[in-house]
Amino acid sequence: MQLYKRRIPLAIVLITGVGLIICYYVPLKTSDDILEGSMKWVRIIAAFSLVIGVYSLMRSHYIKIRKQSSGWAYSIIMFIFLVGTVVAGFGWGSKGKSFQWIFDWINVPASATVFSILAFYIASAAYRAFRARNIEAAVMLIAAIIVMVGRIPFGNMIADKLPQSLKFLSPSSLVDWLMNKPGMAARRAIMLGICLSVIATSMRIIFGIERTYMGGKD
Amino acid sequence: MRKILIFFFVSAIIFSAFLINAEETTENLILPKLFYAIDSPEESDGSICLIWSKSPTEGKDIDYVIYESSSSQGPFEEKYVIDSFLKESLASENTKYFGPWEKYKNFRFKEVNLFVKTVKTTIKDAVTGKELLSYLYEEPGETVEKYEEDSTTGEEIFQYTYKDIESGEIKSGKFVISKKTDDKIKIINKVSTKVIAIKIVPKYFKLGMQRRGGVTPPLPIFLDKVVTAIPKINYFKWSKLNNLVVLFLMYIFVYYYINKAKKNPNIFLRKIAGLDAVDEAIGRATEMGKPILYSTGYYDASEISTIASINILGQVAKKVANYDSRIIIPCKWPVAMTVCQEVVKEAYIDAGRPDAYNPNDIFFIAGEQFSYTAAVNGLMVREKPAANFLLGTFAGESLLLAETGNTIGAIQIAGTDSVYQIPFFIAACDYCLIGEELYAASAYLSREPKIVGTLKGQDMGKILIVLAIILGIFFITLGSFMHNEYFNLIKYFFTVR
Repeated sequence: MQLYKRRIPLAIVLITGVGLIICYYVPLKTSDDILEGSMKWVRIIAAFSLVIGVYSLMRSHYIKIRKQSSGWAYSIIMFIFLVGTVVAGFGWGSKGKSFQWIFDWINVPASATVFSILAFYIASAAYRAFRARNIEAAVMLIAAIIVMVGRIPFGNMIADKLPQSLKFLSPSSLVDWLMNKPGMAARRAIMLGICLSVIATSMRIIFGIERTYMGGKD
Repeated sequence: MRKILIFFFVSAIIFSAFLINAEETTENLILPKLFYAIDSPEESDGSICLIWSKSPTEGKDIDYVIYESSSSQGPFEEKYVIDSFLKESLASENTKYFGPWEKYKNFRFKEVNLFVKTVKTTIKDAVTGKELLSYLYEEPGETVEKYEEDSTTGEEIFQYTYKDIESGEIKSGKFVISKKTDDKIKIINKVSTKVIAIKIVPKYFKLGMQRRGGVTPPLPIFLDKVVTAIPKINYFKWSKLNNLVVLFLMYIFVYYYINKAKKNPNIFLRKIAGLDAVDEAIGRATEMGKPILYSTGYYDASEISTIASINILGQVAKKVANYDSRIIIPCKWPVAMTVCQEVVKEAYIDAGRPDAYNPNDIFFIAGEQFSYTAAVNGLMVREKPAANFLLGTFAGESLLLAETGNTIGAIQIAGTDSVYQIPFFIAACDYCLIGEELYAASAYLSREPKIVGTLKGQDMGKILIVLAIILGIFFITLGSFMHNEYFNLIKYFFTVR
């Protein structure tokens, strides 16, 4: 059991990981083919894994309907739409009218609705977060106000009223400075740390030092 | 005396006329002194580089012309016309091939490919699948290209030319690919193209210069020299050597500190508040009798951030099993779902509570971004988890999830490597792991010497980068004063190509 649950998967990870690293440095057509082939494999596996995903989804909603848990009626609606979309897709193709109608008139407006809630959530998060409790919070509050004012037409109105010698203090100039200088410096510092962490984590996974993702102890 | 003056006056006029006309000829163009061809370094795609020194008579209306032939004796045909003012044709702009050396500022280059591909193109009717046309093309003059769009009918037209085997003529044909009907694209015919064979055909090149414009532009002038090169197979991308060296250094640091950590497991790790609060969050959920919600983020298990999140899940699931609490993991991807199921199951087995494991608590919920968000928000409102773990890469849904969690009063520990979502998590969550802390979390929670050792090695890499930044600033500044190209080497070494 150790062979199948541990050693073989670790060997696959090691060979695949080292192999793809080598392909990155070797400019042969074989390398390009291997890299392209591995991407295709990932996509194929992801597509087949959807079967598992749909089974899991249907099972969890079926259990809800069977037990008549709270909100079980929504599970029935989920089944109706799942079956309806599959029939529309297989029957008339993904470019067919019915499938496109479902996408254009149900999926897109629903996604847009959920996304639009973000505006209100930003307001509520800002109301809680932007309080000058300490120096760091005060700096964040001032920066947020500058960026918000600079992004709306009101910022341009302020800029128009400023004399030429003070144009560098216009909200849009301050926003550009904030985003491109201190903001960019912070983003780059975070990304530097992330990239090094990704290298270290990849090394741990490729060489089998970290095996938590396979479940269980070493 | 008067006759002599008239003679000189008329001669001057005639001479001036010649001078004016001389500007419109190519006689005053000076050809480059050097022209040669080399195999393109670190490429194995059959390409060679043609390199020549800059002409002193380069100008805005002057072009370099490269002529090509299959034989050294000709006939040569015009193949490439390069604007002599084009910055991209400067060899010094391509540090991948030519390095940081100043001397290449006086050279120009053009990369040419000597591969000839045999391509099979098939055109099928989109509705019936019936093959309408299928042919191979490998001869000069045979092409498949030029998509045109007819603005009146909205038709996308595919044009091809091929050599008729019987008559030897180059013929052309057109097929409609798609049409617009009611603002929607309707596919009429499908085109597929496959490369059947590739061969290298030796070519010979000549370099010339010409002046652009004018009513009848003058003919180009040529260097007598004919150059050629044979493309070779290269086995290593030398421009990525810096990348490999830094990678090896990282590996050496990590290996060293893993061995050091095995001997002395007590390595100092700075406090990370978000990770210290994991126990508190799980304990709170257990006391309140409410579940814990765990999200692995936007991406599938093929992304390193999701794997890092799953590594943390292993530690969290062990604690949940020990506390006899419940963990719900709604997944956006089926592969991540199966991995999470396995990890949580093993965690419960390790804690001696295999009976407490419920596979129905780890499920696939939705594949689309906002479908997933809406479903998880609904789950939070119904199940009212006492603790939310949002660990992984997130996109626009980050604030939606975090705010809903805040609304239901859950303690929230978030962590992401998406730099644009970190501010939202900081504003809406109780604890936030920023960037690399997400990847360090599994080491922090498990305190396994081998994994903690890799953290130290990673920190050494950071020191290396900081040193490089400081030295780079110093040497580049010095280099700009002393005009010495060797000072730019450090910048060249740390540039990703």
